[in-house]
Formats: sequence, C-alpha cells, structure tokens
Amino acid sequence: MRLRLVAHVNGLLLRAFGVFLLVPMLVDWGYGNWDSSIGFLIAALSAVVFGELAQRMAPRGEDLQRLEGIMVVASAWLVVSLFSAIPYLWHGMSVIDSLFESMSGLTATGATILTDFSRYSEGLFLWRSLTQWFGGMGVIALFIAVLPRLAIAGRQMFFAEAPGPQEERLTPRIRHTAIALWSLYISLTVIQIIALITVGIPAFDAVCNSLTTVSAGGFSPNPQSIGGYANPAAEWIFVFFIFLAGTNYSLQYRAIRGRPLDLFRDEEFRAYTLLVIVATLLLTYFLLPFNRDPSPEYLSASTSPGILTDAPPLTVIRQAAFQVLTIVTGTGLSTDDYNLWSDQARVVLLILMFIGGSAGSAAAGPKVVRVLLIFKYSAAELVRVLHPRALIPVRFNRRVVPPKVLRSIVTFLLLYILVFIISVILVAMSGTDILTAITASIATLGNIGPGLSVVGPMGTYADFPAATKVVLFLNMWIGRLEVITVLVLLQPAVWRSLRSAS
Amino acid sequence: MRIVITGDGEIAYQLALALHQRHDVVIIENDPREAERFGSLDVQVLSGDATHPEILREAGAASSDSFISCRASDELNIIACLTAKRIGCAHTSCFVSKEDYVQSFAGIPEGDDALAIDRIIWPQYMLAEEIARIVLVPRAIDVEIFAGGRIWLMEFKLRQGSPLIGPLPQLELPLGVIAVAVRKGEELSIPSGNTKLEVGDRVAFMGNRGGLRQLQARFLRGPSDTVKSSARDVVIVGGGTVGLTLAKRLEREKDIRLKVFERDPARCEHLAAELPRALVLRGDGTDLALLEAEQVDQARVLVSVTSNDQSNLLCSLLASQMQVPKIITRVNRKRNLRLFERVGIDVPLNPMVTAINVVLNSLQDTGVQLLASVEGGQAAVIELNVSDHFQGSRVRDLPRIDGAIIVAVTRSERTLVPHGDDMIEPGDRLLVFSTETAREKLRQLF
Repeated sequence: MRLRLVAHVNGLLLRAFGVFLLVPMLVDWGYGNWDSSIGFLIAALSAVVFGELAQRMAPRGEDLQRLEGIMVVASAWLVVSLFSAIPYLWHGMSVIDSLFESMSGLTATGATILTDFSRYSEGLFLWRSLTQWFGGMGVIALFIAVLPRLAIAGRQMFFAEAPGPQEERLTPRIRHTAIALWSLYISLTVIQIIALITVGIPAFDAVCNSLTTVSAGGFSPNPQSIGGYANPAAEWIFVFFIFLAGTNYSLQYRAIRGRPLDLFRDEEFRAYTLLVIVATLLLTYFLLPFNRDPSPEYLSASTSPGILTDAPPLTVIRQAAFQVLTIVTGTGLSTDDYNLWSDQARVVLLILMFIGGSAGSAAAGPKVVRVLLIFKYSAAELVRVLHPRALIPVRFNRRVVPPKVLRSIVTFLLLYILVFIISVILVAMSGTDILTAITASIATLGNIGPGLSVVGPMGTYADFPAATKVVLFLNMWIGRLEVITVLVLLQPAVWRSLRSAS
Repeated sequence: MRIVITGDGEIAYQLALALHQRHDVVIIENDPREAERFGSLDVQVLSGDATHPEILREAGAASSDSFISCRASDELNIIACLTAKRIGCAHTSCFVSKEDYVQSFAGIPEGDDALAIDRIIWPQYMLAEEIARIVLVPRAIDVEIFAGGRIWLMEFKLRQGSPLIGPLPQLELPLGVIAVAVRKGEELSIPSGNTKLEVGDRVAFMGNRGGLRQLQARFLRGPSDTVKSSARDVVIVGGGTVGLTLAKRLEREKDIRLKVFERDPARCEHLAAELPRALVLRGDGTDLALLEAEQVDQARVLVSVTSNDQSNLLCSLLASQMQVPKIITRVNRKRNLRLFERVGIDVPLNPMVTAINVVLNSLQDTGVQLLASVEGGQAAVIELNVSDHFQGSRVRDLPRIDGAIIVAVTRSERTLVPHGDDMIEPGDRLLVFSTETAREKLRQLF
C-alpha cells in the first residue's frame, strides 16, 4: 500500500473541507458571535494547511488500488471528524466529547453530548447540522462531485462509502452520478426549508432542521427537538421529508426524471413503504390506550407531552408516523419523549432500530433490502430441505441475486451483529442498565442517534465515561462505513502491507 | 413449383417426402454421406453448404419459388435464408429454435429486403403450445383450436366407467358438438349410426366451446376421476427449449404448480432464473427414486420433453406405473411414434408434425389448408373455400363422402356447426374433419 497516496487524497479532501468550515464562521459574524467565529477560523485554517501539506506527499493523478481506496474512505472519515471537532473544542467541550459530537454529526447519527443548548452560538448549531448534511450523502460523494481530479480514483471509494449493497449508477460517469445525486439532495433541502418557513418555523431553525432531515441526521438546535416547536403542520412536513430521506436517492432521481410509478416497481421501496405503514398502525394501536391512560411520569415530565389525553386520533397517528420514520431511517428527531411511552410502544421502535431505511438513501442501519433478502434466502433454504435437488434462486426486482451478493449480505449481517454484541458488552461494563447498553449501541452503530432509557430522545450521551464514548464513537464510524469497509482493514495481510509501505 | 430445401435432419426428409411428387425439389445436403437417404425420392441432391451463394445458384435458388432451411443451427439457417433472398429467391422459410432469434426477426417490416425472412418457423414453440393446450384441458389427450377459438377439437380416451361408453347414437351429445373420429386400436373410423364406444377407445369430438364444455363436465363426473388435490401439479421432465417455453406458458395459470426436472446443472440455473414460480429440480427424469421423492405420483400431468427418445419413453413408462393420469411424451424421431403408441404412451407428440404442416400449407396452391394432423397423420382437420361455381346445397343433400365430416361453416365472420338443413353456399369457408383418402374427393366436390 502506498501510504503517501492515501495521505495525498486525504489532503485533497481536507483542503476542500476547510473551505466549508468558513460557512458557520460567516454565520457567526452575521449574528455578532465574534468569539465563536474564531474557532471556525482556526479549524478552517488548520484543515487547509494540513490538507495542503498532506496533498504534497504524492504526485497527482495516480490511480488508487482497491485496498488504497478502502483505506482512503476509512481514514478520511476519521481525519475529517478530527478537524470538524475543533469548533466544539473551542466552545469548551472536552476532547473526547468534541470528537464524539463531531463524528455523530458527520455520520448523520444525531447522538448528542450537549445538555445546555443556550451556551452555544448559532454558528455551532449550523455547523452541527451542516456536518450531518455533508455526511448523509457521503463526504466522498460530495468531493467526487466537486473535485474532478478525484473522479477516476473515486470509483473504488464511491461504492466503499455508499450506503447499501447496490452498485448502481445513474450515469456512465461516476462524477455525473455524484452531481445528479447531490443536486437532488440540495433541491430537497431547499424545498423543505421553504415549506417549514411557510408554516411558521423561524428561518434559522428551518435551515438547521432541514439539513438534518434530508440527511437522516437528527441534530436540532431546539433542545426538545421538533416537539419543541409545537407545530403540527411542520411535523407533517418532517414526516414527508424523513420518508424521502429513507428512500433510495437514485430511485427518486429516476422517478423525477422518468415515470414516478417506477418507484412502486422497486421491491425495496414497496417493502419500505409497507414497513412504515404497518409499524405506524401498530404503534398507533399501542399508543391509543396509553393516550387514554398515560403513566404519571409521562405527564410530570419536564417536557410538554406530545399526546395529551384529549388528543384526537390524528394526533396519535402523527406522533406514531413521525417516530416510526425517525427511527427506521435513523434520523433521530423527535416530537415527544417516547422513552416515557408504554413498553408495547417502545418495543416497536426498538425492533425498527435493527432494520433501517432503503439502500442508497441517507438512512443507515442494516437496510430494508438486506433484511428482505435474508428472509428470502432463509425461505429458500427451508424449501431446499424438502427438495434437496431443487434450485431456488433468490430474486430481487425480478432479477436473480447472485450467490456472491447473498454471501456478502449474510457476512454483513453477521459482522454487524458481532460488532453490536461486543459494543453492548463494553457499554454495559460502564455500569448502565441493559436497555441503555443495547439501545446506545444500536443507536450509534445504526447511526440513529437517540435510543431508549438514559439515551432517550430527551436524554444525552454526556454522562457516559470516556471509554464508553470511544466505543460509541467507533460504532458510528464502523456503522456509517457499513462494517465491512472498516473490518477489512483488521486483516493481518493489510497490516503487513502497511508495514512494508513505511 | 421449384423448391430448394437444405437440412441435416429428419425435417428435410419429411418435407421432401411430402413435396416430391408434385413439385421440383432440390436438396442441398451438407454431408455427402447423408445424401443417400433421399435415394428413394424423386429429388435432386446437391452436396455443399447452403450458406454459399454458388451452391444456392447451382441449386437454382435464384429462380426458385421457395427456399426452406431446416438445419440444426439457427445461425446457419438465417444466413442461408438471407443469402437465398439476396440472389433472388421468392419466398424463404427459416427454422429457428431460439426464442431470441424469433424475436429479433419478427419485428422487421415487410418491405425491408435486407433482412427479410418470409417465414420463421419455430417447431419447439409450436410443440410447447400444443402440449399446453392438452395439459390445460382436463382428461383430454389431444386439443386443437380452430377459427380463432370458436371451434375446438378434443380427444379423449375412454376409461373404465366413463359415462360415454355405449352406442354412440344414444349418447345425447350437447348442441354444437360432433363426434368426428373413433379409434379402436390402430384403426381409425368416422363414427356412424352403429358405432359403439368401448373401454380403451379414443374418441375425438369437435364443436363450439360451450358445447364441449358441457361434454367435459359430463366427463369429469366419471367415477375414475378421483380428485387428488385442488391445485393441479404438472411435472415437466427436460428443460430444453420446449420444456422452458411450456413452463413459461403454464406459469401463467394460477392454479398450476410446476416441477421441472433437468439434468444439466448450468441449464438448471438458467431455468430457475427464467421461471419464478416453478420448482426447478436438478436430476434425471428416469431416476425412479427422485421421481418418488418428489411425489410425481401426485401429479395430474407429466410431460416428458427431453431431446432423447429413450429417456422420454422410460420416464413416461415410469410415470404410467406411478398412476399419473395424463402423460404427454415428446417423440423426436417420427418413425418412433407408432412404437410409442404401441407400448401404451397416450399422447406421443412429434415436434416436426405441426411445423411441416405449416410449411406445406404455405406451399399449397388452392384454397385447401391442412390445419392439424390428428392421430399421427391418419386424419386431419382441413379448411377449404367453397368455389364460386359450386351450386348451393343443404348439408343433408350433399353427396356422401366416406371419411369426411363438415364440422363448421364460416360465412361473413360467423362460424356455426351445421345441421342437415343448413345451407352450404359459394364463398363459405368449411372446416372439415377428413381422412387422407377423402381429401381429394373433397377438393373435387367444392
């Protein structure tokens, strides 16, 4: 492996990333937060300087090999998260907290350390949302679109980073694909911002929340998340856009360009839609009795309850739909403290955490298509017990799925569960309850954000010991890169080639 | 007519056999050693490759009325036809076995000479369609459809306890249904007033759909018809072109559950990819243990369509032992047809019979068209146009022709099954069930 080349590409990315750090700086200037803006300036300058230095370590225009491509993707997310953490440090957060918040942003997770929201500047809230927006579509995808020089080398990286098992392109050239996806992404963001402002959300909040909706991120400048605005119309807008955030962006692009009915011809989209509808109905069913007879701690909670006892059924459905979507897509916004809901209701959300949105969307988690294929694969195996000589191919979108793909999906799911189990054990060692350990692990590995119990929607990750935060930090990184991209690098052969490179 | 035929298999021989007495037939035979099989026929045989223009010119293809290419290779057939067309042949017929080619040539507009093949013949598809018809009509051992679906032919084999057993005139057939043929053993006869139906006879009925449906309903009440399961299990042995085409056709029927046996693992993968509903099984259709493990005895129909006659025969006999009610067997060599029937195969079918009929029809000069061969060619359903100088006549007043029954009359887009009092007029199109001997008399009459 040519480490210099890896550093070179990282440098290119970092240099461009530094420019983006100037955006929140300008916003802080606009709001008169001079002190806070200096943090962004330092971050921007150091990113550009380090980027420039690293970039010079190798000549341009060399093509990356497969392993180098994976290495670039895995390291870029770490390197970028390092520099994106500088503004948080400037605001007085500890090193580990800053890194956690930064990674939570870039991976569009939405798990937060912040407790007292009044201490931070507008620029910082915008930065938090912006990192999610960049990360949702993929940092590499963004830079492939922006930096033509990466286009050739980017082929390997684009798919190493892309969420979901598909390798599908909209256009023959990877750069045009990246541009197409980003223009759709930007359009959706702008439309949502306008829609939110129209129904009365303040402009700054509309921008921040929209950035974290289309990216399935989940950071909100409001300490009570979306529930804090108490605006039903806005909540329906969020429901719509979160649903889109969990839908394959390539598919949306084709639906807009061609026939919208193509959406329903896609098996994953149908399964995703069905999943959302069924889960919403189930959650509504569980919430209705809870609505009539809420628990005392729900009523006495510090936040205003989202579902009042005399709420009409439509309100309950809205709450259910919002929460189902926000969990299944890994967005993590909330309209109510669902941690205080009944156990029946919470278990619906817990199960959704293990499914995730569509492949090729901003949503994280194992993805609907993988779960779907695993079920089909298992069903085929059961038929094979009865008919040992039968050939039972697994189909997806009327095409036969090659055994190679099935194998990689099974591997993915096994590794995903393995990482999850290790994480649960490590988190539980810090002395938390089981539910917290489980949901904190899956909420970070699945890039969801809030979990249940201590890390519920109104809770925070701040009180975990530093070691636990490191585990969760790694979870977010591994989860965002779909496990395999990271675990590949743990092979001894890779280490040997690293040693020989230096 | 001058007809040039090239082919390396049995079709070329069968075509030459049917055509040599009335036409000038030239055969282009690729393999000189094979040339002698045409020795008994009055044809000219040339040795060479029909894809070469010189050979085609030598055979007189340039001035011929028809060129037929029926070699085993689709590509060679296509090239030969294109070349023949290029040097000036009037009409080309091309035998094709792969669906892809059928599709790529089907869409070419008539006027486009560069890629014009006048007739694409796909025997495997024709056989698959024929098998599908027989599979889909319960208990029938032959089914043919005429006049755009208005007239059907159905043949049944009478089993013990069938309600049809007894003297034929006492059998009150539904309106619009005629018994056209009875076959006892090897002997085919056109039923008359004193025909008696017995166990083991095969009876062919023709008529409109409604009438035949009533007849079927009566048939299905027979005691021997034990309903084994609500869905119909159909087993196809052999996943070649015929097997695959048939399976695709049968997959469209909601109540049919399909099992397809195929020996070749690579072909199995292709089949499994092409057939989302069928269960594709890798294995030999003559493997009794496998057939038993897969409960072939529960099947309503077994279709054996491998390219190997021995396998087909053995598989069909095994199925017969397992009491499968209907067994359809592909017979690749036409001369094996008789043998298969003799050992008790109910429905032996040769892929070439229909295809050859299609070719012969296209070469027929007059208004007589052979629509379907029945009972291994002993009889046929033919269509003929009543000529303008025919004097209108009632059916009962027509001179009697032994071995021919008028089944339907089509006049100005209306088709009816005629009674004795109905008129036959010039310009009518008649559907006639006839034996070979009666055909010439019919031609003279109308």
